Amino acid sequence: MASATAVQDVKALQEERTQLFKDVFDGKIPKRVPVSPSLTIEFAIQYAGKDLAEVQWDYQLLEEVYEKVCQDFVSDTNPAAMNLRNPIFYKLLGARNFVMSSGGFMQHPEIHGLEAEEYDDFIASPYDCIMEKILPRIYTELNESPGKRSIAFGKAFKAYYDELFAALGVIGKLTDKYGYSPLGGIELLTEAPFDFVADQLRGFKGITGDLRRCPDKVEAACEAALPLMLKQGTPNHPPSKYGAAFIPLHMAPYIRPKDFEKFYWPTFKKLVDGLADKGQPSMLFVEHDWMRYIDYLYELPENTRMWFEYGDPKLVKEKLGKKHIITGFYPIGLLKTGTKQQCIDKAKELIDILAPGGKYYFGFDKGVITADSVNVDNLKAVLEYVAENANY
Amino acid sequence: MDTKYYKTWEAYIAEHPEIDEKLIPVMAPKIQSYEEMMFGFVMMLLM
Repeated sequence: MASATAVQDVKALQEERTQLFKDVFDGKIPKRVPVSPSLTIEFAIQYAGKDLAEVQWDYQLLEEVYEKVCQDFVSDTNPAAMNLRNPIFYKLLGARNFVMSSGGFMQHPEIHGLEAEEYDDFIASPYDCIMEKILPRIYTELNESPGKRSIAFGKAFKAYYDELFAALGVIGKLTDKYGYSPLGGIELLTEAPFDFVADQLRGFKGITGDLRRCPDKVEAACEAALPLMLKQGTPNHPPSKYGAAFIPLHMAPYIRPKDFEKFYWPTFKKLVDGLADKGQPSMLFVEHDWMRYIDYLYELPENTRMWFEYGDPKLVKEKLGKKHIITGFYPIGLLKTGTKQQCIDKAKELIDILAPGGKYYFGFDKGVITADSVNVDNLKAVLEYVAENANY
Repeated sequence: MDTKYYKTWEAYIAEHPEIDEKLIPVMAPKIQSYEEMMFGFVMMLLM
């Protein structure tokens, strides 16, 4: 009987937490400010005292690791973050773009898979170019004979989905066990077309040179990438206004405003608009400082979710807060250097700025990547403070 | 999407007229789901 009551309590808690996010996403004022920290798998493994590389290679250990995070940190969403960089499929493919360091972190060396003189191939048929030119350049096991390539691809495909579904199973189980909201996280990953062309096709150095050397090609490549990014951000089931395509924004702060206007913004806007037209909201990680582009962000479809790293929270609230949904800004660096009271005061300050009128949920300025990058007592204190005090 | 590496169900069935019509309702979602999984995997390799 006690067990049945406990299950009912957890179910009620889950419904209450889910309602908080529904209200935020519907533009209603929730009962209180929802809390959604971003604790990475690396943080979770280190916090649980496990070996970083070993757990990433053996997901049998994942439940214990995630469970400890769920037990110790207050959150309205499951704090156990999905690992996008499982090392197994990268290793099977001989990846040059994501390589595990001796310490167990997945490192991302600067690489490029598309040569400048190959832009026309990409523009003519981006997916064919990816399969035939780009992937074999980035993944050494795909630069082999057709037979070897097929075997490598088959193994990596299976490993990717085996590990993905295993992790999702653990996360889903803990979400129900601890009564977390299934809403408020991310569903799919896609990219702004310019970022897609920049990140692994041309690389940071390549794309910045291309903006001067062959601007027309860059512009056409972004247009060519757009349908792929739209497809990647669209779920295979009917979209929900509570779902989200996660779009981490990379390059905009590093290029000139006139280049942003011409090369970055047009296809990015088309992507977010196109997803919204299908009923799929976007969740942007507004990486670095976008304050000079804040008026552009306003133009995106209503209720676009924006997770801010740096910038002016007051300006964001004033310019975007009535139209879009805001999270982020809390500097995780303070969790390392500040006193408990300073950390709580910072949370109060941000809530005072960002919470009025709703359309806000509490989050940090970036994912917490290592256990020693924060004082975990401060982290716990801040999450508890917000969950217990940020009532409307 | 104009590519030889991704097929919609419509394109697939056009190339396979031998498929029994009564199997189409059960085959279509399965074949298409693997197509979508492969697309998602390929894109993930570049994200």
